[in-house]
Amino acid sequence: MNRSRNRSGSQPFGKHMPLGTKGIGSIAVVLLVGLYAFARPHLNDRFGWQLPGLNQHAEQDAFAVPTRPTQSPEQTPNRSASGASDATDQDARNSNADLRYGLLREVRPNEFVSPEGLRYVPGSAEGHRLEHLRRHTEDMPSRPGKHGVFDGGMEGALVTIDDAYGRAKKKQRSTKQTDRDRTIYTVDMERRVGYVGGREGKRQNHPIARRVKLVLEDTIVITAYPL
Amino acid sequence: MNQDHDQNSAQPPLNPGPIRSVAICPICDGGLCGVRICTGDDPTEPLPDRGFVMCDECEAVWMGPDVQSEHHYVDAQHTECPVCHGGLWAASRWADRDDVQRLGWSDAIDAGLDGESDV
Ligand SMILES: [Zn+2]
Ligand SMILES: [Zn+2]
Repeated sequence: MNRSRNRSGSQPFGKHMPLGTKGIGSIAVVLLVGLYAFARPHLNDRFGWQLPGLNQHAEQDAFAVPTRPTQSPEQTPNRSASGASDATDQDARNSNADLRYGLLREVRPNEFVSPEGLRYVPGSAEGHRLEHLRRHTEDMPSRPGKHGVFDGGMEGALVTIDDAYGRAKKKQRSTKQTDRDRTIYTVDMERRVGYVGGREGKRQNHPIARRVKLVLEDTIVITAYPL
Repeated sequence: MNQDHDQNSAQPPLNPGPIRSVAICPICDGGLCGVRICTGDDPTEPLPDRGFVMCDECEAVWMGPDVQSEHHYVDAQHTECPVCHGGLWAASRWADRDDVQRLGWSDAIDAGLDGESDV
């Protein structure tokens, strides 16, 4: 149930791409995009869905991330599939194609840094902090207690976490707790960022999550999840 | 970049987490304080059979089952077992019912937090 919710959220109109001529197709796409942009907030409010915005970066403060793979997966099937960029477009390759999940720069092998300066390094039971984070991109219905699930898959989670950290640094609607070398932020995002899953979330009918818990060691992300 | 769609086939199964836990983490509120047991980092040595409690989110560690007692944290980049100091994930594992009984920590367990594999 949640999985299908995630899927419809990450590619909202993929199934409806018209099959006719290019011209008619383009018009249909424009109409669908317009309709989607208009209907999305109403649908989200009414049904508690997680349909992503067409320009969610603008809604979420300014990060200079040129593209958003969740919204155009068909344009970025993999890093080297585009023959055009292979030949000449060095800038594009350096600026975007090499970003993990469209956001993270690999500064050392297996070590990634976000635009806000959060670091994702090897560690955790999953072998890498990013893989631990992946746990929070889908529900674990049988997990005891609550299990926060970010909207928008890995890309959505990473953008939300960076946004949360940006707010926390500005002391914007956030609490900060330090304990030895850990810093734990609870940030009110003032919008839906996911939902509460796990056994307890299921019992409560998967309430909407508007806050982010962010556990850091210095700038290394230990874990982050919606609540 | 289609992992949303290929998730079931392309991604490894999610790590299930602790089997037996003593509490929801009082530090991060979201993790399970699960019992782990040191299995040692030297297969030629007898098992140390010593346990500890660890939050599976913030990685806080308690050397006994009382999570109101003193704690420390696993180092983010050099994760080691607090008992034998071998690699945390190789030299210790989530304790099952028998392990917990052997440790004498059964009374501290919150059965409502039992993981599925041991229910
Ligand atoms: Zn050990
Ligand atoms: Zn914790």
